[in-house]
Amino acid sequence: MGLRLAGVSKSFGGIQAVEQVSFEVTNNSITGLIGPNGSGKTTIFNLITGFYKLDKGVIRYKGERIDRLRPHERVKRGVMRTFQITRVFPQLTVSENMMIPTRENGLASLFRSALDTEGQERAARLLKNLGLLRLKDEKAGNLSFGQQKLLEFAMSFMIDAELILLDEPSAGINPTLMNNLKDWIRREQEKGKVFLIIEHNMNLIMDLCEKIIVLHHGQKLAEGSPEEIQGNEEVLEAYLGN
Amino acid sequence: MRSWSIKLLEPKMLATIALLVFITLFPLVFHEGYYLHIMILIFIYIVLVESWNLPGGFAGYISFGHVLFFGMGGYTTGALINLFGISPAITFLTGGAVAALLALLFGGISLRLRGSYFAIATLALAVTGKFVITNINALGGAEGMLLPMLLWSPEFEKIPFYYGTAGIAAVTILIMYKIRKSNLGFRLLAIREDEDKAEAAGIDTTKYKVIAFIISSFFPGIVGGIHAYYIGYINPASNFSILYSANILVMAIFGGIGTIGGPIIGATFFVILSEILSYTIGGQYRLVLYGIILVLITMFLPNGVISIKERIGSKEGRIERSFLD
Repeated sequence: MGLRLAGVSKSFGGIQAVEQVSFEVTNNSITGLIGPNGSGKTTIFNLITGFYKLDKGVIRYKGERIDRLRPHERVKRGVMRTFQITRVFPQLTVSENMMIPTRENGLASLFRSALDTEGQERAARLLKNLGLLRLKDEKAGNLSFGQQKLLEFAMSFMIDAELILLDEPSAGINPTLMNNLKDWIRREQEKGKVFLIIEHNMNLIMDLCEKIIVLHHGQKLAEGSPEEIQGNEEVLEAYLGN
Repeated sequence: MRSWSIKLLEPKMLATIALLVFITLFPLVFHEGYYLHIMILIFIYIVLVESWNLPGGFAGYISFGHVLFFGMGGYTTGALINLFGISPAITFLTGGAVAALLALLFGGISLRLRGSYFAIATLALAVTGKFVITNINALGGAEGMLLPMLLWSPEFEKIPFYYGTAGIAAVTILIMYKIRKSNLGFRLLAIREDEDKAEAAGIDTTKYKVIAFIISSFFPGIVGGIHAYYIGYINPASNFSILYSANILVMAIFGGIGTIGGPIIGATFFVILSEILSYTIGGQYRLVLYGIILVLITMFLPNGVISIKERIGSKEGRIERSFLD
């Protein structure tokens, strides 16, 4: 009972961005979402997280229909995302950024201090693992692109989201660090988290994912194990053209 | 944990204590009505700017409608005293409640708008409020109404208003300070920085904006009532004057939007400046000078006067600022 998309469609004006896409992200898995530029990957992310409204289709998470919920309500149910173009809160410090993600919007939590010890400790642990701890009091806007990417990545682990959607996690990150991220994602999966990853770095995606979904012109072109995808003629054609 | 005795010796704490002593003793030294009047105006404006700053500075939702809550506070007090003979202390609080209710209704609808669209909606709200009140005859129409005076000797009549407004200003500052460090404060900042990202981080952005708007409207509702009772006369043209909204904005920009200290600096500076100008170059040139000051501030200190500290301060000072201001 993970994430299930059934017949999902979305158009913008005359452009059919996503058409009749169905797939499933099973529990305890790492799934890759690949395809050439403009194939609808990020649109799918926006549909899953509620930034776009569906034209047609159904999205269920843990059996519950989530496609009519607002974005924060989906976070509350455990679905967290990062953005392709990294988004952090530039005027807040790194540690303040870490305190922003939440699954709790109740009135009781409102006036509680934002910088509680438990949260701070958790943030410090995450930042340390990503080599950002020494920058904790720096404004996030002063960080390099790669560091902001890591910060956004760290932020998505501040709440215990079960399903994490990563939009091109490797872009702008150096190879050594990328290996760290890869190990991290694997460790988190072992602990029970589920990942859906958009990525252009094929080595990474083939190495990490058990299942890969290929999109082309808004439609699902193929679905299968890394080996199956690598041997699929249609996929090669979509990427290389003919 | 540091003990209180050490905390008391910190410069910030010492300055606060000195200021509190000064404000408490001020009427004993300067008991002339004029000086007290200036101080009362400063306190009222501190409340107005500090409360405006919650949605305006923290969440980045600039409102031109703050005067509406001030005006509604004044008219609630006027109506309850004149028409029902209710005691002022109760009418002030009722004014706050009426303003908060109005904010709930208006905010629930208009806070779905973003940026300049929201600002324009608040301007429309302020103008509409004035228009509606002008057309209610029971409230005196365009002529407004007189309120009963406090029957104290002229020498002492300003004293209760002085301490009353000072107390409310202190409470407002304290509440805003607490909010700034709370989840609410941080989540409002997140909304200001990137509303979609805030939503993606799990924040119910609409709810927080409406809550900020409601809290923000309560305080002008209260001081609007006190001001009405203090002046003894209300009419739509002055109590709903858009100049209040403009002054609030000018003070906030000057002092530093989105900070706790900025509104205090802005309110104090402009009330005193406005008084000095009115008996030197004359009131009519005042707004021209305001304009010049604003241009200079946005050019050289875009984060307001309070950011001087940050510019000349050490790295340590900068970090402290990001947490506390």
